[in-house]
Parts: sequence; structure tokens; C-alpha cells
Amino acid sequence: MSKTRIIVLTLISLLLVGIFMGSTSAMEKEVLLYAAFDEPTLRAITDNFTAATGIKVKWVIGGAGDLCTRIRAEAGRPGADVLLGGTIIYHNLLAEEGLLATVEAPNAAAIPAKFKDSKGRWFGWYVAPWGYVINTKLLAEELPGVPEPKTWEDVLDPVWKGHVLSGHPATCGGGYDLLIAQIFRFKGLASLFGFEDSLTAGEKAAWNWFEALNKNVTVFTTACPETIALVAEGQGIIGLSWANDILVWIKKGYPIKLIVPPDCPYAAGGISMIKGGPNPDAAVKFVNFVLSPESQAINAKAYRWPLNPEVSPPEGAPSWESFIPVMYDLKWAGTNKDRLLDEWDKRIGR
Amino acid sequence: MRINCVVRSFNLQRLVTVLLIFFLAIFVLFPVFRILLYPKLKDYMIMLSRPGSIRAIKHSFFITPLSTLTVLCLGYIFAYAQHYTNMPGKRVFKFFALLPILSPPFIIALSWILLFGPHGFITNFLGIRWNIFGWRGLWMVQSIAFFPYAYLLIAGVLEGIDSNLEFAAGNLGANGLRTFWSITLPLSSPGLVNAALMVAIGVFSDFGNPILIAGGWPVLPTEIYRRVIGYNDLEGAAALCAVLLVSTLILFLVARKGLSSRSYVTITGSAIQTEKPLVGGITKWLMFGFCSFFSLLILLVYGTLAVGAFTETWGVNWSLTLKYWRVLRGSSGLPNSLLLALLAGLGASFFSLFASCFIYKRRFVGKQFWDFVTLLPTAIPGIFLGIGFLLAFNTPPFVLTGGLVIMVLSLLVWNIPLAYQANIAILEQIGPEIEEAALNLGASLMRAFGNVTVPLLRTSFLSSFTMGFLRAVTNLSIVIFLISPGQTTATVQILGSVRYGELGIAAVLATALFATALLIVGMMSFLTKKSMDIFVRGR
Repeated sequence: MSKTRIIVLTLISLLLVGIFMGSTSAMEKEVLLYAAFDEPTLRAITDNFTAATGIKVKWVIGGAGDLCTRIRAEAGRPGADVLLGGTIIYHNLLAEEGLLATVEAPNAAAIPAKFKDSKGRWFGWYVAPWGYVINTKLLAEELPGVPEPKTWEDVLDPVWKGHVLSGHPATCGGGYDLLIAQIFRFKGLASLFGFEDSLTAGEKAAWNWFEALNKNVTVFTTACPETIALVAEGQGIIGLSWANDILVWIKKGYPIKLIVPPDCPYAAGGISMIKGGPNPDAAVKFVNFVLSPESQAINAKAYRWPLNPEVSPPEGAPSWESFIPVMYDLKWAGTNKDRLLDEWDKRIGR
Repeated sequence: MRINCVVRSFNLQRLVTVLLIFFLAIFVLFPVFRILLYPKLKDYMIMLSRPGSIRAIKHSFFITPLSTLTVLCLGYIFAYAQHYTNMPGKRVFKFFALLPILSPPFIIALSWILLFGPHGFITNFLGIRWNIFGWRGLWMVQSIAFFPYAYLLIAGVLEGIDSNLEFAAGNLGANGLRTFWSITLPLSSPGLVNAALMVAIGVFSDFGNPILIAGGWPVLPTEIYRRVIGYNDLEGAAALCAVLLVSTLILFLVARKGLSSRSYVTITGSAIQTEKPLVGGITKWLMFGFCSFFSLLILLVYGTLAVGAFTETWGVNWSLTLKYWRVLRGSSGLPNSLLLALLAGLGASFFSLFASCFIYKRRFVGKQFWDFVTLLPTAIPGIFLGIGFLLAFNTPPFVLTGGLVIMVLSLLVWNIPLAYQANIAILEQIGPEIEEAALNLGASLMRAFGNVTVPLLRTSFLSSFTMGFLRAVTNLSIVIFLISPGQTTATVQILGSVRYGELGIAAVLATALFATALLIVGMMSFLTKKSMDIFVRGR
């Protein structure tokens, strides 16, 4: 063996040893998360938690639907302690399936009753509406003179054909919230016009709305923030996504703006503790910490409207009161999910 | 005393064979059957009645031949230009041709969107309008992503062709084109068929590219993913997985059959003429132009990423920044990916070393079957393997989920056939004589293994380790189902960053992964004293 060969071999083994050392660091006190959340904010919150308690936090980031599937598949032997983020529709579904543990969190007292489980199995801790992200530069170049969409009907105009992006209801929570919100928006209209079964009428009208939308949409993205990225980078003029994520992107300096039409979908992001997780004590502490004003203030920096009324709303964002969210039945949204998604498959088919 | 020794080694040999078979049964057959038996007959019927499934199947059967044919043409021209011309820059072209192996394939899709999207760089520059989301974009991206594999396989065959025949044709008055049609192309056809089937399996089970670029155009693997994560429908997903597996299995069986029945490439003891008749004139420069164009395209794809890693905000603020590189600190993705890949690569190479000696070279009842099982993972799509491991090892008797172990094992299994085939290719060329000679001279089977077979397989061990390492470090479709908190991989992190629109972070991770892979390949090729030739040529 030549000298150089020995050197290279030593380098490789050093690399190996280094990697081993890195991956087997001591882990006595920790809490494991499934997070449907953005990494920078998650890191800021967990760093504060670790500083306060000495408990380390590890996570997998994924779509809320994705993580729920994992929790179901791992029932009885969960791979994580806490599900963080994702709309409370998902948390409520998991609770109904008996997969969540009850948590006594003193900090939950400040959360309005409407946004938390009466049995203490899940808690909402922030809300965000769903709206349009418009690439104003592209709009001026491509379709000069066409007015920006202001209502949910405006986006159906054939002039937008090939310029619209939205989230897929099966893979991103927001896409499903949009579907539900449209059903309940039309339900409201139907009951106004005196339909007896306003929900069925509303659903029928909502499907017509989506079939019309489908004609204009180029891509239903698998995750909601993807839509904003694509519009910001100029791959489409209108995107449908979360207002908080849109505000983050506006701050980055892209030529985009946010419009939240009336009767907007909204989602409350939740947190819950998974039943039978490996670190229950640490998990309870973490859930309580996330509900605290301290962590909610960090979260507000990412433009999510905190549900703890003591915390001031995000700076530079419209007030929550300026939105007109459409109210919907949380339980109906959960129990009809499979049926609605099958219907989507049949009618929209992508 | 002597008899005793023989008996002991005989038992040891048997024990090794039995252990290998056990491993195969648990980690190859068990997950496969777990998936196939998971859906009930009813679920298969529902799956077939669902328009979404039918559409995905149709799309898959449309894009696979299209992308495969394109890849073959590209690969053939590149390989031919390498071996049959003396054009300048051959080494540079070869380097560029192999680059896509070093990165997760879906990185190409990401870069492609930035360049050729409706308002991408190139699109704006050329002032044209097209929609790359859908099959067109997928077709182009897959053509680049799978091109190196076709190139390697075809180059290996072209190299093996005895040029005496081509020179003879030339001497008999055939012109260049005629020689090509009547000698070179027919002689390379078995390799071409093999490359076609291998690429087709890859394209058919490709997950990363379609999920990024073909959002509105589902293919089988993305539809399976959507059934699992969107619809929580493991039964439906497993039923679709079965369709995927049966299709790739048929391709795989055809490939095996086709190759065993005719082999034109003869490796005999006599000297083989490797000096090729060179093509000159216009053809040469046309090929030069083609290779330059394609290499530039690849450079553009990776250059875009490298620029993205240092850019403040893509498309808006072009000032340079290092801030995204901070993600590497405290992130477990990259070290995990490297560790996984090292272990999986080594494991697969070791396993195959033993398997080629204790399964392939031995005669026992059911040998053919286990030989087949060893090669079976070639035909198992990544997404199938991931779900199979998830279903098989999440409940007793084998509980492995929630750690690195299950990821290492799945990637190891996935890499076995590659290493096994490389070993067999060498053992077939050598013939059993040397080992028999050792046995006749009184060596035990174990000793013959250690002193004869292992040294012979040293180069194939190193090359299959390198290839296994690269495949594992760039894998997304298997690990995406097996990650757990704190145990994620770079590829999953990249996909996550793309989905949250964090292009800078995705570009940094991709660049770092790419650089590390390049470093490892550089080291390995230095160790084996052969430049990029260490890549497995396969059979």
C-alpha cells in the first residue's frame, strides 16, 4: 500500500468515526415532534423551550395529512410525543379515533373555548385566513388592465386560465379547508334563499365552483406554501394559500400582494399529545410551553394570529377583525373527509 | 484429521448459506408479501374502479417508454462518441455525463423549474411560452436524470465489442454507416436491451421528479404517495403498489430472459481488439456539438443550484449571502444521509460478496429461487420498498421502526442486486477452474473463498460500494416513509424546504450533498486507481 492510499483510508475512517460520534450524542431528556410547521419558527420556539427546561426537542417536518397517517399507522407504538401544527380538524379527527392523550395545560385557560377540545385532547393556538397571493408585476405584464380578484367568484373568470395555482385538498390541510369553506359559504347562501337541505345544496354549488376553478388552475400543489413560492418566482399570477405564509413572502421582497376575500377559509393550528408516546412528561411540559404567551409571541413574528388574547397580533399584518371567516362544522369536516376526497377524485380528478 | 476439517468447513459453508437465506426471507420476501397481502380482493376491485388510479396507470405507461427511448438515444450517442471518435474534450464530457448520478434526481426538477418554468430564466430569455408542469417537463427532466445509467451500461457494452469485426467490415469495403448498422448496433443490442429495461424500471418507479414537476399529472408512484398521505388509504396504496411491482417484475424477467438466451459479447482468453475504428468528418463534429450542448445543459442545471445557494432571494435580490449555509449547523439530515449510505453501501457489498459465493456458486435445493430473490430488489420500486418495510417492521415479531436501523436495512436491500450482479459478471468471466484447482490442492471451501474468490472480487466490491453509497445518499422514495424525529435525511429535508418555498436552504443542502458525494467518489476512484470507471457496468 502506498503512503497516499493509507492517508486516504485514514481520512475515510476519520469521517466514519466523526459521523458516528455526531449521531450517537447523549439523549436522556428529549421530546419528539411531528411538526406541520416551518423550520425557522419551530427552531426559535424549541430553542426557547430547551433553554427554559433543558429538554431537547427533535422533529420530523411533514404535511399534516402525512403526519396523521403516520400516527395512525403507528397506533400503540407512536414514534413521536407531540403533533404540532396542522389544522384542528386533523387534531379533532385523531382525538375521535382515540389516538390522543389528555393534557392538563395551565396555559390553555386563555385560549377561547371554540378553539380547544372540551376534554383537553387538543388545543388551537393560532389562526390564519386563506387568501389570494397576486404577483402584481406579472399581472401588469401579462394581463394589463385586468382587475385583481376581490371575491371567490372573480377567480373563476376565464381570463385567468393557466395563471392560477392552488393546494391539493388531499395532501395539504389548507386545500381541504378551502373545500370545506366553499361548501359552508354556499350553505350560508342556500339557507338565505330558503333551501331546506342547505348543506347538500351548498356542497353541490361548491363542486360547481371547483369544477370552474379547475379550468383555470395549472397545478394543485402538494403543500400550500409551494403555491406562494411558485407565484412569487413568477410561475403563475394568482395563488391560493395561507395569508400568514404570504405575508412572510411579501417581506422577502417579492412583487406580490395579499388579498383576503370575504367568507375566507380559516384554520386554527393545533397542538396535541399523542397517546402512548415515549416521553409523556416532557411532552406535557412542551404542550404547555407552546400555549404560553412567550411561544405565541415568537409565532406571531411568522404572521400567525395568536389565539392567546394577551399576545399582540403580528406586526404589519391586517387585524384579525378585518377578515370575515366562514364558520364551519369541525366535526362534519372531519367525518366527511374520505367521502369528499373521493368526490374530488371523481370530479376534479387530479 | 483432514476429513474432520472438511466436514467442519462444509458445515460452516452451509451455515453461511442458511444465514443468507434467512436474511433474504425476512428483508426481501416478507415486506413484499406483507404489501401484496395487505389489501383484500375488495380493495383491488375498488382500486381498479377509481378513475384516479386508472389515470395514474395510463400516465405511467405513457411516460415510461417515452422517457426510456429518449434516454437510450442520448446515452447511445454519448457512449458512441466516447468510444468511436477522437473528438476533443472526451474526459470533460464523461465527467458531465456522470454528474446526475451524484445528486438526488429530483434536484434536476427543481432547477428545471427555475430555468424553464413559465417565467423561468431561459424561458424569459427566449421569450416563449410553454407549460412544463405535466408530462413535457417530466419527460425532459427524466431524460437528464436517468441518462447517466444508460450511458454507463451502453459504454460498457461498446467497450466490450471486439473491434476486429468492425475493422474487417471496413476492409471488406463497408462504409462507416454500414459498419455501424450491420456490426456495431447488432453487437451492442443485448446491452441496449438491458439498458432499456433498467432505465424503464427506474423511470417507472421514479417518485421525486413527478412530485415536483408533474403536480397536475399523477403517475403511479405519486398516486401511491397521495393515497397514503392524503387519503390515509393504505389498502388502496398497497393495491397500486402491487400493480407497480408486477409491471417492473415483468420488465425485470424479460431482461433476465433476454440476456441469458443471447450473449454476443465474448470474453475469451484470446486478445481482444479494443482499439476502435474512429469516425471522423461531419459525424464527429455533429457528435461534438451534441455532447457540448448536453454537457452545457447539465452544467446549467447544477450551476443554477450553486448560484441559488449563495443568493439572497432568487429572482428578486441577487446579492450574495452565506446565511443559508447556517442550516448545515445543527442539522442532522446530511450526517444521517452519509452514515446511512456508508452503512448501506458497505452492507450491500459484503452481503453480495457472500451471496455470490454461497448462493450463486453452490448447488442446493431451491438455489435458483434464492438467486432470483437476491436479484428481486432491482424490480422493487423504491416507494414499494419503503411502504413494505413500514408495514412489515412496525408490528411484532419484527419491530424496527423509529430509528436509523430500518433505513439502513431498506437501503441495503435495495442495493444488493447491483453488487451481486457485478460479482457474478466477474465470476462468470473467470470460470470455476481456479477455485476448483484450490480445492483439488486441498484447500477448504472457506479457504478457497478467502484466498481465491474474495481477491478476485475486490474491484467489484469497491465499485459496487461506491454505486450503492451514491444510490443510498440520493434516495428519497424509500426513506420518506421511514424517517422519524431527529432521524431525517438530507433528501427529505430538501423536499421539505422546496415545499415550504425555502429555495436557498434547498440549494445549500443539495450543493452540500453533491459536494460530499463527489468527494467520496473522488476518494474511491483514487483508491481503485481508475478514474470514473469504478461505476458498475452491470450485466
